[in-house]
Amino acid sequence: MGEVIVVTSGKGGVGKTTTAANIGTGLAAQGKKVVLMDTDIGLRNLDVVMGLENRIVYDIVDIAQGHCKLKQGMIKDKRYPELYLIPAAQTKDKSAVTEDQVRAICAELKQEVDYIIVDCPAGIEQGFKNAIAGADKAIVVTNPEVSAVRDADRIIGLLEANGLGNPQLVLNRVRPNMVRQGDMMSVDDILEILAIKLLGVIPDDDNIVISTNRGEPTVLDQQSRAGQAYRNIVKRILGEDVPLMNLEVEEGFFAKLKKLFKGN
Amino acid sequence: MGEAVSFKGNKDGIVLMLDCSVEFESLCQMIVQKLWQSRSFLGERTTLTVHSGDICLDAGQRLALKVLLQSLGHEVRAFVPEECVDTETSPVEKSTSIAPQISEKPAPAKNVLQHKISQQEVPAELTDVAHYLADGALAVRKNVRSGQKIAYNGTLIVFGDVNAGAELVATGHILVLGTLRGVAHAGCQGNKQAIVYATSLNSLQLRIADMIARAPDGEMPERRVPEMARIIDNQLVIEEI
Repeated sequence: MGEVIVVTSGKGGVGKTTTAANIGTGLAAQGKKVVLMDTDIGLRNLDVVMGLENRIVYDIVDIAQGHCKLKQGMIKDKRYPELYLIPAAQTKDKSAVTEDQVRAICAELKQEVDYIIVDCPAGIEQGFKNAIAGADKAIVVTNPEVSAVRDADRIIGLLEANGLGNPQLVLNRVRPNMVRQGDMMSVDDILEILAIKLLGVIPDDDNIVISTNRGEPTVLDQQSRAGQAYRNIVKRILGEDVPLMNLEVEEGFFAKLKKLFKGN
Repeated sequence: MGEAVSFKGNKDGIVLMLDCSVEFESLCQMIVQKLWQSRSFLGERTTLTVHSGDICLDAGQRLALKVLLQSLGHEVRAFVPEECVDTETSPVEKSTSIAPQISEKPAPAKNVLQHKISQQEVPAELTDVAHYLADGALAVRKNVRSGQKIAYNGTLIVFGDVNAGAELVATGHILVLGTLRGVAHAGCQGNKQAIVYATSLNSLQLRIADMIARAPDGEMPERRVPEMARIIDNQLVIEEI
C-alpha cells in the first residue's frame, strides 16, 4: 500500500514544485516506485521541471473525467523506469477536477506504487483542497521570510483541520551567512513559530535555477549542496536518521588553516 | 497560367498575381513559400498590389492576406479587383458575420485523441481577434498564450506566436504565421492529409490525426525557417518549404 504525500506552502514561489520533483526523483533513485502528481491546473510546472513536457498527451483532468485510463495518463520518466508523472492540465482551471476525483485517483495509485507525491498549487482555495484530498501526509515548504512563514502557519492550521496533523517542514532557500549576520530568520526562529517537525533545510543554491531550466532535478547532482539536502530528506522519509547538514559554504584553504591554528 | 502565385511588374510596382481557383488556405501557404523564395528579389517592406484575377476576394480573405503579407514584412497597396459590394461596412465586421457550424459529432472513444475536440473553443480574450473566413477557416490575429486553447472544426490560421502551454486543435490544417512553441493537433478527427505549418516551428509536440511526434530531449537550437509537418507513409515528417 502506497503513501500519498502532499507538498504545500500557501505562499507561491517558495519551492513546492522543486521540492516535489526532487523528493519524487530522490525516492525513485532509492528504488521506490513513485508517481509525481501536479494538481496546479492552469499553471502547470512540474512537467517542465522534470523535463517531460514534450511527452504530455493526457493530464489529470483527462484521468479524472475518464477520457483515458490511469495508466495512459502516467508519463514515464526518462531517468527511472519506476518514476511517473501525472501532469496538470494547462488549458483548464482548478474547478476542472473535484476533491472526490482526486481522492479516487490517489486511492487507485496507492494500490500500484510506493509513494505518490502531490504538488499543490499556491493559495488555500479549490486547488489546495483538491491537492490535500487524498493525502496521508503533508510536507510544508517555506522560506526564511516573515510572509512565507505566516502563510505556512495558516496552511498548517488548515491541514490539521482536514485531518492532516503533524505535517513536516522543509525550510528552503536558507542563506547561512545572512542568518549569521542576523539578517535572516534562523531555523530555530522558524521552528519556534511553526512548532512542527523539521524534515530538512535546503541552502539557497544557484544550481537549482540551472537544473530547473534544464529539467534535471538537483537531487541527482552529486556536486550540488541543495541536491545533498534533498538526498538527506529522502533518506529521512525512508526512515533513516540523518543529521542536518552543515550549511556553511565550503571554506577556502586559508580559512581552514586559520581554524586549525585556533584549535577548533 | 502555370503557378497559382506569381509576380508581375507594372507602373505602380510589383503585383502579386493569385489564382483564386486554388483553395484559399493552400494559396496562403503558396504565398508564404513564394515570398520566402523571392526574398532576395523582393527585399524588405515592399508594397504589393494583390491581383486576384476575375474573382473578388471577400473581406475576410483580404484581411487574412493583409496580415499574412505584413507578417512577412510587406505591405498591401491595393486589392484588384476592388471591393465589389458593401463598401461602407468595415472588412472586420463583415468577416465576423459568418459564423461556423458547430458539428455535434459524438466523440467516439476509439481514436485516443478524438475527445480533444468535442466542442469548438475560442478563449473569450481572443474572440475579438478571431475572424471566420469565407471558406470555413478561422483566422486569429493575436499571440496565443500558455493556457489558451483554440479548437476549431476546419482550418485554423494564427497570425502571431503560439507559446508553450498553448494548444491548437483543428479538424483541418493548422497554419501559424509566427513561432509555434505550443502543441498543435491538426486533422484531429482522423484526417491524415492535414498539415501543420509554421514560419518558425519550435513545438515540443505535434499531432496529426492519431500520430504524435515529440521534440527530442535536451536543448534544441531555435528553428527559424518555415516548415511543414505532415504524414507521409504513416510517419509524421517535418520538412522545410
